[in-house]
Amino acid sequence: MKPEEKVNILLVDDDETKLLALENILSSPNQNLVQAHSGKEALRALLNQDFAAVLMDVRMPGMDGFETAAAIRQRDKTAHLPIIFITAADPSETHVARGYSLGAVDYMHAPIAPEVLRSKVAVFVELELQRERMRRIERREHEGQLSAALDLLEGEVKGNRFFTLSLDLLAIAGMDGYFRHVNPSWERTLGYTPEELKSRPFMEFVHPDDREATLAAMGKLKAGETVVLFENRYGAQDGSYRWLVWNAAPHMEERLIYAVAHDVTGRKQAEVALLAANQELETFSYSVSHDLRTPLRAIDGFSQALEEDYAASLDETGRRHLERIRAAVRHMGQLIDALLHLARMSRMELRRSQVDLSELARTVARELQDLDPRRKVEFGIAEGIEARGDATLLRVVLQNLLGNSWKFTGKREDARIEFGVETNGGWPVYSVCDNGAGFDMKHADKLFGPFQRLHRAAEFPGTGIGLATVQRLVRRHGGRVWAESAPGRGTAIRFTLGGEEQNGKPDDPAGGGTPGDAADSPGGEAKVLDGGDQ
Amino acid sequence: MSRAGIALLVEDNQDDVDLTLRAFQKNNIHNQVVVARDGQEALDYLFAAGANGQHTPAAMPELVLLDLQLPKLDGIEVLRQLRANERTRRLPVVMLTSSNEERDIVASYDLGANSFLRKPVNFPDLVKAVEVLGQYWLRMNEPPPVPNPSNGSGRDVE
Repeated sequence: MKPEEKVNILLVDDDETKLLALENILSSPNQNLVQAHSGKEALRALLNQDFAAVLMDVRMPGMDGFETAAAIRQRDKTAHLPIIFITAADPSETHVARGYSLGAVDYMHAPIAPEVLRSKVAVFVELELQRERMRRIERREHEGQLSAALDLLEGEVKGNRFFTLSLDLLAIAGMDGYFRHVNPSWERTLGYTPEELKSRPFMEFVHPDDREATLAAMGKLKAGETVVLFENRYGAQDGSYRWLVWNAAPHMEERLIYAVAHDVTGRKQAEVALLAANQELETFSYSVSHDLRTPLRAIDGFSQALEEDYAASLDETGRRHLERIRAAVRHMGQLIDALLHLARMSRMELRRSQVDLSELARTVARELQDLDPRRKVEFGIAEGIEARGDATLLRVVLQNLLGNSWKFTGKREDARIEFGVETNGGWPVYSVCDNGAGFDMKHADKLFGPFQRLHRAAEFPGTGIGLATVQRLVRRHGGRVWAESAPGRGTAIRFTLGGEEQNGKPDDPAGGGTPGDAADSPGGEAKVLDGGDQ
Repeated sequence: MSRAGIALLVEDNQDDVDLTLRAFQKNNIHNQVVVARDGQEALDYLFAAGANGQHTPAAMPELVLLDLQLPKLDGIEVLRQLRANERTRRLPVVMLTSSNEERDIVASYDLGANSFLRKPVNFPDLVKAVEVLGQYWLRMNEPPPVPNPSNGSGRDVE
């Protein structure tokens, strides 16, 4: 038996000897016997402790047993406390009657048979123990319910705090299309009071063009599906519309929809502005394409007409001048085309897939060789270089880089061009190296600017747009490009294709140099194919 | 061998008009070339309405060389209206323009252009392009029947 399952028995007798006798009879590990020598003492004990039963002598000086019992019965707490009267005197009917009418459960005449007393008390002890267990269970249940209720209340209070604090628009809506609860952000965002918002079907606030999509989203919610990142416009009181992006989940039993909306009007406006800027840029390149070429055609056409129709009036110098006009026109035509190409590459949509860069490099190398079969160039293309990127744009990158190497090794008999990959900090760094003319790193900052050229046109013709294109495309992949070179010692162009940023290494793929300050790139690590005899 | 079909050149830039005509000459293509200076003029000519309303159905060209950027109505709109009209919906139309923007190319073909040619900047290339154009569209190609039967004879000019 557990220690807490010990019950108190109150023994009341003015005779110390009789109390001891009772104690002897009732002594047991699960009974705590408390003695009282008078009625008063008994009442005091009952005030302080709970008892399973009272064994009380009837004849006591001062307050007798009956008077004490009456007092016990008067108190609510003890109104039903079992009382067993024990007395040696007057086994008369009246006594017994009085005893019972006072609510005594039993009445025992002395001399008491110990077995009988023990068994009577045992019944009350067991009764009390059961009552105590019941009380404990009830208390526990009550406490459990209470704490659950408290948790709920606390959760609600805290939830309400977030509900009120949230910058986002929180709402609980019925499946009937009405808001039930909206948080204060709604009023801050749309200008309508919660009452106004709840008084009309929320569809009325949705932009007419977005209602169909919103209905479809509602259909999903009613079917028990969650709606994620749904966008629509809500009308504000001032007549404007706010773009909202929603996450919403239905609660099927409650027939409610819990929804959170984020105001993305700012982002949308920025997108629209960007779109407008892009369209403007597109219009610009379009008119460059059309309008700049038209006069060039006239210059070239009429120069030739002059040459053809008035050849007799022109001397050798005049004809040479015409030829130079036409050469300049051709070059300008190429520049315009290159610029257009660059603009087009910049706005082309990026579609990433797994790209076999080795294969791409081999293809480009073959094309270069086919265009100029007389050249002898040794290509060293590492096997199995793959990357995630846009195949079309990466092809343009390799065309430009390998094309540059092809061009700038043009004066060498032992031209060699390599394409390879190294890793730096776990991220691939791709490289195109050659043993061509190279350049002074003093000018490296100019390398990636459009129309920047580090060689005289007569030496190496070109538009100066190639590396600008490369840089733009590499950046669009989230990567960087930089160069290492020295005059007569070849050039190495290295690039990454993004990914390193996600690893928290935004600016350190190859020990320093960024595209803008390629001059600071680590010359010591530069792997440039050595020009050897140059 | 030489048919006498008319070519309608829709081009607002006088330099381009002159150079194109010169390219025709260089290639000994002597078909009449009617020039329209903007989109509206082109449609007026083709629909036999407006300023050129007096022409007979016989003057229906065998080929339209259509620039894209034109005053009043642009080339795309001209093409759209040509294709929507019973008289001109089968007319061979070659877009001859400075643009090689993908959206222009796509829009042109979507609206039923028969060919798309980017005007080269240098004249020799233009001459070559016009030669191929003339050879193919004015000589080899079988033009659609003219909707309103007529005497079928065109004027043999320039």
